Amino acid sequence: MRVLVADDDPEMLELVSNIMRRKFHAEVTRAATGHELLEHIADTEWDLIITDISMPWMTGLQVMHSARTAGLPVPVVVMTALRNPELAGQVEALGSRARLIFKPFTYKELLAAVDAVEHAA
Amino acid sequence: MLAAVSHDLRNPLGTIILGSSLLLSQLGQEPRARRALEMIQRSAHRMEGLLETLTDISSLESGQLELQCEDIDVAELLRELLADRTTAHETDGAIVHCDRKRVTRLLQTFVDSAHAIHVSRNSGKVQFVIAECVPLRTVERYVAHGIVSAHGGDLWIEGSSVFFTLPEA
Repeated sequence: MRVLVADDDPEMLELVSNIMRRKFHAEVTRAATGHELLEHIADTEWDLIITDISMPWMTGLQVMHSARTAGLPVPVVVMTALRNPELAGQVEALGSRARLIFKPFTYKELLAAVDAVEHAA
Repeated sequence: MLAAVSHDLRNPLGTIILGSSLLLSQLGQEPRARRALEMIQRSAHRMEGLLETLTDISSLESGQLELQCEDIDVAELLRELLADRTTAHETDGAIVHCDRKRVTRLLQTFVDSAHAIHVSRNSGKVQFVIAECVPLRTVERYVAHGIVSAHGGDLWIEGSSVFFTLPEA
């Protein structure tokens, strides 16, 4: 399983990456900015992307909307500490294989979001 | 400004809650360690609640706070909040007209330390007395006042007890 994790908070980036490695034996690539996320997205065929929204250069949402426009149907879990009521609709626009989770979230909530996007039609 | 600060504070909180819940899931039967981790989680969730409320108060001060009020049975609300705690409480059959999420946050400030909660009805108002609770910190007092004021109620402190009123349904 190849997973791309993006967050500009280094601790959150490390923690989520380690969870994906240990729980799913995933091969994880990390991105610390929206620009890095954009660069990595075309590297390979990802099985899952987990991305924060607010990051330097480009938001995770901008990158994922570009990915969808380019025809990449990769499942995505979008994390955010923002409380903007419009975010839910913006993530919904990424299709059924996308979920929004609000920070702070628990380990179980992260696993549930991953499970939901992996099993969505 | 406050929205930006709240966002930045939620990130480290996110690491604390995700990390401690991960450890709890892997810990097995280690009662003392479990208790410590659960305490970390409760404190982090409490901090999250304070952040949400501070954001509300900021909205209140700028005249942008929108309450979503409904009729709520106080007995039912306290049952959910107190869960397995043995805090004495009486509710006088009171039904309040208030914003559930915000009043739940207000009561959460007290439930861990209160010895007793007395609720009574009087002239269209429902009075809560939180008896012998731990003194409120400055931020807690500020947000508690803000929530109660937003509902048109009053909050005051006498000794170690907190009194506040909310509109009766």
